[in-house]
Amino acid sequence: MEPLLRVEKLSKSYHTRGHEVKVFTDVSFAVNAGELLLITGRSGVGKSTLLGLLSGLDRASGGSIFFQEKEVTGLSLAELAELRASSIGMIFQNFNLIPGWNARENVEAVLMHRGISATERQKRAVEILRELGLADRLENLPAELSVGQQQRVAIARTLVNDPVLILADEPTGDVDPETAAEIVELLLPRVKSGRAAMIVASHGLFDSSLATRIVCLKDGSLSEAAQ
Amino acid sequence: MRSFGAVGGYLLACSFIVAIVLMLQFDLQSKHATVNYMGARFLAYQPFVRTADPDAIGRPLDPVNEGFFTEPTIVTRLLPKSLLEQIAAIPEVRTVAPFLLYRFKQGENGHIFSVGAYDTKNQDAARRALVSPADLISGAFFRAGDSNVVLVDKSYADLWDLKVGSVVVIGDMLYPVIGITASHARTARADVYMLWPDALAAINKRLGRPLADEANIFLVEANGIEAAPVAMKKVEAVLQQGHANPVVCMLPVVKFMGLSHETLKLVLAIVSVLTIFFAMNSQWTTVSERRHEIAILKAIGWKDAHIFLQIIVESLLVALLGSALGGLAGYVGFLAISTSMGARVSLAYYVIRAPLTILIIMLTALLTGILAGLLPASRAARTRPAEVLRTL
Repeated sequence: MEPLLRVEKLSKSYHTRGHEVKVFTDVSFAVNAGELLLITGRSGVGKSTLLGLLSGLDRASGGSIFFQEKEVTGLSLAELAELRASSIGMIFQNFNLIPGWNARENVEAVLMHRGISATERQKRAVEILRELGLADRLENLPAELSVGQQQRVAIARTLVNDPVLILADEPTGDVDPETAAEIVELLLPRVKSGRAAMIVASHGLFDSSLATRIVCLKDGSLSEAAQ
Repeated sequence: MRSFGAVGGYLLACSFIVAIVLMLQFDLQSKHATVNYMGARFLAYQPFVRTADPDAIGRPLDPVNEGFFTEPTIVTRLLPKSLLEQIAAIPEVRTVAPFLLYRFKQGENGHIFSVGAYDTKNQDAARRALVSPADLISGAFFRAGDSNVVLVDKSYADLWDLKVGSVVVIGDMLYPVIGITASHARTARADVYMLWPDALAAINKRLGRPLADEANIFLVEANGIEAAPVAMKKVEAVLQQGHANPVVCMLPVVKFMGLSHETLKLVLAIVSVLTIFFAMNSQWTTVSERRHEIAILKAIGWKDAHIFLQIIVESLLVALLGSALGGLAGYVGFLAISTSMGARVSLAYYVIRAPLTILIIMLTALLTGILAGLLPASRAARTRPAEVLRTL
């Protein structure tokens, strides 16, 4: 079976004040549908940067990323945006909801500009928010929601376009253990059913027993970690 | 909150522009009306040069006291009436009428007065430039079939205590006064107005040779105030060494009106530039404050073009709302100012021209909205989401 995502010799470095700062070099791994890959490592080692490269939000300094066997490192910004909109879901540690938009609008945002009618967009957003138990919070602004509810809106936004790859950056980092368990409970079935793969970046707050594989990013290199 | 500020900015700018434009428009309209009434008309004649042939002025029998002239005391040559057609053919000329203005001395120790010949064949121009029924103070105006009757200017009538029914002696003839007129600031005036054939007969008795088909002045009306200077030059060329005299201070007024037009354009340009600058600054700040939101939208799959469009549409909506409210406020302001000044504006202006002007200003504001949104939208579209989200 071809992997959903394949990363080969991926490198990232920044240029600051004339100096090159290497974040990581020659990172290689592959993820199949149905897998949950946990990337661990201390804060600042480049876990979020790696997720940024995988999502196409950032450009790699070297190496290649293959998504469904198609190299995506050379795609244009518009093509990468299209890829995110159609196949990749992202979950951020601090939810990253748009403060001025209500829960429904935040979820609908993913479906906008994709040729989906406003009625259909609204229907799908309401449907998934109901599934996540937010039927009575559709018109509430993020500030009017609890932390747990905010995270559920963020998850609804991630799942509404039925992504095949879910990238999660410390998804349980800012929540209590109960909410963390709830989040995992909402995301995991999609992975376990083989409909999607999930890559989680965490420095230790994510329950590692849920991961199919664990890798550790340390000193600019990625290595398999013992489970 | 910032959007409200931007709407408020547009509101203030548009209400200011609308009020100023409407007031200036109204002011210009009034000036146009006044100047068109007084200044689009002029006298055309050829001054007499002493060395020229005395026949050119009709050989008056008493050349010291009598003769063809124009105000104030310019002796004029006689010109063929056929020039009328050439003058009428000038595109900038609306109407033209021939005119005879002759200075009489009545009796051996008599007084000096002027007689003007009213040409009924070119009544339109004569009425506009010389005397019309609207100038009547008492009595009646010339009617078809009238002959050997005169109209008398009020100042002359006051001097000699003339009333309707009085008799004026011109040469050896008596002429009953049928009307007293006050023509105010007309282009030409005379003490006594006679119908052309009567004037011709009276004047011919004072000349060494009878008048051929001649006139000493042409009363010309140009096609509006802007066309007047060109019309004057062309008429002067037709008359050869002719003079065109607007009598009233038309040219300075034309220049002043030009200045007013320029002022209007300058005010609009300054306010428009300031509005664009303000709107752009406001949108720029909005985009800066919304970098996080823009980064999120890009992270979930919005393309640069979508972000660009979003900012432009927002800028446009802000401009639309602000300019609509501003247009309304400006219109109300204009109504209040014009009413308090006691200005009488035509209904057509209130319901057609002013709203049309406001609409044009609103459309300009929308264009401003687009222009003001371009740079911030371009900046927003270039937001690098990875960088922004990392710094949170």
